[in-house]
Amino acid sequence: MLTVTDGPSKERVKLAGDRLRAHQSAAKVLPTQSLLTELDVVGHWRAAHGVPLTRVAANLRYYVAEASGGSFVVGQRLKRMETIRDKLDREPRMVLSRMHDIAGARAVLPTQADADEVLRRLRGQRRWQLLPRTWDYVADPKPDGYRAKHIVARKDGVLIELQIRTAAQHAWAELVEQLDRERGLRLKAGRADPEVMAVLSDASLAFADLEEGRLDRTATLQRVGELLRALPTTRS
Amino acid sequence: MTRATSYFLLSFHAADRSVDVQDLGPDEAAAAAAYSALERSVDSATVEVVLVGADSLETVRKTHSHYFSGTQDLLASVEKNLLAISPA
Repeated sequence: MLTVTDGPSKERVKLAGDRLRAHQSAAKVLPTQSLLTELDVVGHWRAAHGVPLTRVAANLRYYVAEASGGSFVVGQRLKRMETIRDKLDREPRMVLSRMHDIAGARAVLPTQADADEVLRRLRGQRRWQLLPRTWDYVADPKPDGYRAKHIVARKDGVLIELQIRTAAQHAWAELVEQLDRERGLRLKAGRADPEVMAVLSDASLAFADLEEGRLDRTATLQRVGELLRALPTTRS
Repeated sequence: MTRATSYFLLSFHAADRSVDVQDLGPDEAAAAAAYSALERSVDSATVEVVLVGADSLETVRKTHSHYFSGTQDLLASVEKNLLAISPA
């Protein structure tokens, strides 16, 4: 089993990230064999996140079960290699060994009060460390309208992102994933049209209105439907 | 306290929005190895491979629902997601 101790060193991972970024921008193209070697280093680094991710996600499930006032789900994923490579391009100063979302766990709860209670319990536990920062996209949504609160755990030498979402925030995020793919919006790649982002952001406000009781579900769906019809239909 | 985590390797086919699910059980090391091997063997332009985990496939269908929405209407997917998690 791979752990961070028998995985590649952080220095080697940083180097692999720098080499892949240079290769992808054509600043310094790697011969095929070297490219495969660097991808293998990143693959091993990602694999080293697997066991810590599962432990942290299992703990998260426990706290979510305690805090949720209703139903809930907790899931996890290891980031796709393609998305890791896209992110290297998008964030030229990022050091690969410090990328904090290679491993991600996600909790979805009914209300913001439930979500905030989970965050409070996570801050109070001592099973693993948390970075001090909370990425509060509820107070400050991303330009495309993404809302959720993220925190980052440090477990066995690797970083693990925890996304704490309400059902409404999650419904919006999954809608955008589906739209991104069906309509080629290039949101994941960070290259979406500002007009598209404005429409998605308006849709996100409708989900916030639902969450806060200003719209019912039927009215929310109607509003989101109107906004979707305003989106460009051709693939970029 | 917690149920064991199962790993599922998803292959999403953009052309018909279908998804193949390989249930890899609870062996994390085997799951990570299968992930890298499959990822290397497919054309990433047409097949999206991702390793997810949860207490069940039913949970993954909620936490990562967009891989399972098929050709379902966008608003129908939204409604399903809203109904999946409900207050007490």
